[in-house]
Amino acid sequence: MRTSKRYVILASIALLAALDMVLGWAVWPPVFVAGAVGLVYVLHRAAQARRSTPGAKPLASSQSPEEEVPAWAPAVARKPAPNDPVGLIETMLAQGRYALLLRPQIARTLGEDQFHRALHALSEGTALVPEGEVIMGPMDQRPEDGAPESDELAARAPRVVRVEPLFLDRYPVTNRQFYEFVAAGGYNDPALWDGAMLPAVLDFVDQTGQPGPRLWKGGCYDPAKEDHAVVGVSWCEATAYSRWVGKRLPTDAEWVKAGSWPVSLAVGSRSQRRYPWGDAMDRTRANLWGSGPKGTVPVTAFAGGVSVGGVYQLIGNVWEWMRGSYPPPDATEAGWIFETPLKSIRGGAFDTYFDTQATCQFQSGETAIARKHNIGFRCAVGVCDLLLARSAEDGAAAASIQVYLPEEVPA
Amino acid sequence: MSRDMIVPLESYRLARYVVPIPCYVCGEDNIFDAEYCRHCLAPMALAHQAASQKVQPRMVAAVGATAVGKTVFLGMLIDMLSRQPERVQLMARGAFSITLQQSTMAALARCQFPQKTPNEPDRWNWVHCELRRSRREVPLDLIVPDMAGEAIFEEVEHPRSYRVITAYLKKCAGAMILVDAVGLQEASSDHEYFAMKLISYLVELNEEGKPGWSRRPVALIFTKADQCEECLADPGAFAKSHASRLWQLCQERFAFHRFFASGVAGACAWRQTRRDGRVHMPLRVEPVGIVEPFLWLLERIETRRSRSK
Repeated sequence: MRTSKRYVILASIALLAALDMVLGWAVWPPVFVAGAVGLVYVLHRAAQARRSTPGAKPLASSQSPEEEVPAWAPAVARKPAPNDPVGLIETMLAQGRYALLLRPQIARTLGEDQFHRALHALSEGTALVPEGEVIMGPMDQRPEDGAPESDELAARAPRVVRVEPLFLDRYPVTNRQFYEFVAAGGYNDPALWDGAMLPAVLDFVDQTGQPGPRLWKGGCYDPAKEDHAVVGVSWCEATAYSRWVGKRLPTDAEWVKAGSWPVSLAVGSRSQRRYPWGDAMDRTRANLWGSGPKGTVPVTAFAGGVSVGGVYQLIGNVWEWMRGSYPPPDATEAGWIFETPLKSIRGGAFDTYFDTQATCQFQSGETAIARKHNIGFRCAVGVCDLLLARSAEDGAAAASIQVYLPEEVPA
Repeated sequence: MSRDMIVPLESYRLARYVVPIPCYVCGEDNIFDAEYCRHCLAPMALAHQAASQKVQPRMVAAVGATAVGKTVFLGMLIDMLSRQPERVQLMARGAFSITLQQSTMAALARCQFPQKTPNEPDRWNWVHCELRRSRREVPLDLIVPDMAGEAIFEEVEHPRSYRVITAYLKKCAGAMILVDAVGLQEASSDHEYFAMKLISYLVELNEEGKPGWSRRPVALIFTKADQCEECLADPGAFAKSHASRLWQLCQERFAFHRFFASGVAGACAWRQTRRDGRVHMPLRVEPVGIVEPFLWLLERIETRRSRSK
């Protein structure tokens, strides 16, 4: 409407200018000049308006949406020169791929300084979840009116799962972090994606048709949401990103253990929290429906909801993709009929309405290729998968070893 | 002796029976202690509350096909408005007005949809509430029933088979017509045809001294839009592309209408249970687009009322 109004105004001015020119030609030359200037102005503004109108300039047939240049683009980690292992390690540290550098095969080849920097990045970015047992299942649900059948009740019985020690990201993956993956060509690297999912990868584009999360534009995120959790990513994209940084998605049991922080009081007796901060809901500690700005917030917000181990926003802000399925295959709950298998999500989001659906134990599901506005993820890596201390020989040998990382393995 | 004491009291009670109490919905006379109107089966509590509190509640209808999500929509709407008082604060009048909210929320919190609304009008949940708005000084009283979809279908197919629906819709100041977005997306024309029937039925309902439905505000709400992102992004465009006949009919019949999209469940799944057979279950609750159509409707109703004054 606004555009058409603008065109009407411009057309009126053009008409007046043309009349002015005709009149000036016949009566007084200066009037003609004024009319000509008016006409040029109108043509200029019309061209401007056409350029600024969305869809006014269609893409040339040879121009793909991928070639569109985003309005702005954040600086990404410098791409290393070929055969420059030091530069490559620096790039990977800048990209947040320290977990990959700390893999035993690679960590032994790092210089002392690089190794310590990778370790420092690990301790800054992740929290240690100790090994132990965690109770899975809706242990706190009581049968109410319309209670399920007895076999269902039996199926819902809590079960104990053992968890190995792991490092869990302190924060959900942010837009800025995910941008590194996109800019590094993560969507074009088949090694990062499951073979069965490859056809779907072509459909993982943003609003302008470029590879990236669904809500991005021009291959880039909204600059105001740089440190917000990335959303609009499928389980496949989350898995690919995790592989790229040398981590993986957490299992349900690992995630619940990080949030509910179980403590064994005696043999067969455990204390396990309902929320990371305790057993009672406190909406000032989590970004849920009615307690936040009706959208995502920076990943460092709601610090009051941090878990005992120092993990932020396990509850609220965005649902988080888990590694496993929904419902878990080892659960005895039967009767679910899914058109497509679902992946597990946990934690609740900014639009989660009920307190009971924003607990450490609550589990929901979504299809692996769904790209919802309120689902993000965080990564995990097992302690046993990393080299956290090196012998003196490792450091000495590092100088003489050539480093090859996944993207630069010689043929 | 004791018998003599009772007679005057009963006479007094009998005297009250002589004074008829008109039903607030159909206007027919009832005895003073009737629980439901003997003509239309609307609760007489509505009439008693209107008389005792000296208010004239306005009426808004939520209508649609069976299983379109009327109960979930209304229960969610009432709960949201009573939880967040920033723009509109809803307060129930009478204990019976909380039943719909209570039963719907209890079911959704358990990841279940509420039970199907029975067809019998005397088993429907009615909500009489007071709405306080931040911008307006005078609160608004509102009556909204949770009518059964099958009863609405029966009334539309055979007018006046449900007297309470006829009388209620005649008196309504506006309506929310709910249409299943998923059904439309799957190219099922039944949902569109039923909405068209409903619109045609409404347009033919007229009450003396009241403007017809063509001049009353109507919000057309696509439900289950959480499973249909296209609908959520632009309900008007969705209506034009997936329900063009409905869209065209609305353009012709209603002077004040708008399309909305709403959703309550973030995701749903089917489950086979021994007791109820195959049931649809919400996997989580993430309301979207619930309050907006209602606020738009209120705004239009208020505008009309202020103009008529």
